Amino acid sequence: MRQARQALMWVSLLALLAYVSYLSFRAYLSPESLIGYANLFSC
Amino acid sequence: MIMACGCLVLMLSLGTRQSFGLFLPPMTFDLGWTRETFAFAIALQNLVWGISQPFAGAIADKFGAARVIVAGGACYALGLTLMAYSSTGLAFDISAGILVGLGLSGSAFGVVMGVVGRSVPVEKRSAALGLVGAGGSFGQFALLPYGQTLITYSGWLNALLVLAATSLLIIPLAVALAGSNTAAHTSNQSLTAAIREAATHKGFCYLSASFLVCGFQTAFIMIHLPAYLVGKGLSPFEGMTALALIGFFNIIGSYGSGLLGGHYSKKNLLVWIYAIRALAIALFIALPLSVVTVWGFGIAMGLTWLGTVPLTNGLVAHIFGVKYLSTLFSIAFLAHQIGSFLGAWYGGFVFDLSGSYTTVWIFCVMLSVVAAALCVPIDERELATLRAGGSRA
Repeated sequence: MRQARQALMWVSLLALLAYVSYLSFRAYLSPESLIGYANLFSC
Repeated sequence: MIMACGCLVLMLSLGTRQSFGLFLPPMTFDLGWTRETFAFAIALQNLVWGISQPFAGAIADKFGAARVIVAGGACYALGLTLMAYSSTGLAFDISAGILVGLGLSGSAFGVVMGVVGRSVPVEKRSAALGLVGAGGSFGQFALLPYGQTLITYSGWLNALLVLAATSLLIIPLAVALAGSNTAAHTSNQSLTAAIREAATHKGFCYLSASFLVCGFQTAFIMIHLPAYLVGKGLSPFEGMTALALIGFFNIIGSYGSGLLGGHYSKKNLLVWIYAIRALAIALFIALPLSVVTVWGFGIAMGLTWLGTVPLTNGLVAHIFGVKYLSTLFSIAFLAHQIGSFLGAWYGGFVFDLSGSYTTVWIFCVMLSVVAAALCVPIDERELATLRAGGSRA
């Protein structure tokens, strides 16, 4: 029972990390981010 | 609980710092500053972080880490708040440079990893350090877009205030890391004697020197890679993807190196890391620049980015014991920060002089080879065991 609970916790944590990573990747490549990146060399 | 809170503290402290570059265009534009004004404060921050880190580590070893982390969190939040209201270069140097630098020394690797290193059994220490390091890497990866979103939707001033409020979360998290140094009674060695012992240990000097190389390379790449890619005609999409790949694979690399450090020789793993970096940089500059080479370089650098931290920390803990782990690792970290300062500065200096980064890339390959060679002769044996055996390498 304890092992199952621990496994469930790890799976939930990994799923959460995967979701946040997906969101982060999307944010990295969002238009605002790309404009910010381009601005680094034009201001 | 200690590991979870340690992860979160590193996530917040390292992640917030990662987004500072995003503030350069809007702040310099609105306040009429030069880039140098902004860059100098960030360079100063790195130096203050490095110089104050051994002191923060020593206080944490002597009086407990929680107080240092609370003070670090408070300095961090105050520094970010004052950054938002800085109208002169001097005010920005004090807030972003000195206060945030002090905040980082109290709430980043040196102090947090010392607590974690002491709180787990020896056989699980390396994996635990890797996991906490991965937390910091995750913060660096995830908080950069968070900072960008804040700037986009609320402006840079409010974004800084929100980041200041976010960094205040470090203070309650420090409670879980409270308690006195659990290894305080494992030996009667004094702090001065421990520092003297480390300073005369060849392995510690080699390890610190290799860590300096790590700081040089990561700072140079993080600061100058975007400019290099744009200069070579790559689009912002490809540049941002490279940065995202470095950030993402850094999480895997940090945890992986900690995990491997529990099973294999840590110094050999460090040799591998520096050798892989040398190969990755050499291929990156030798092959024609394309999306594939940029992404491949991002993945290789990400996997080896902060993988050096749990291994270096674990090696210090293994050789010298954990009683003064925060202090001794912090001294090695000072070398890392000197390397960071030199990497950031030298890249700009060479570019201004020659209009190209090629010389610095070649220098990075050479440094990697030197760092790998420096790790080979490190004597990994525990000093406590050697003392008991009556011999010393």
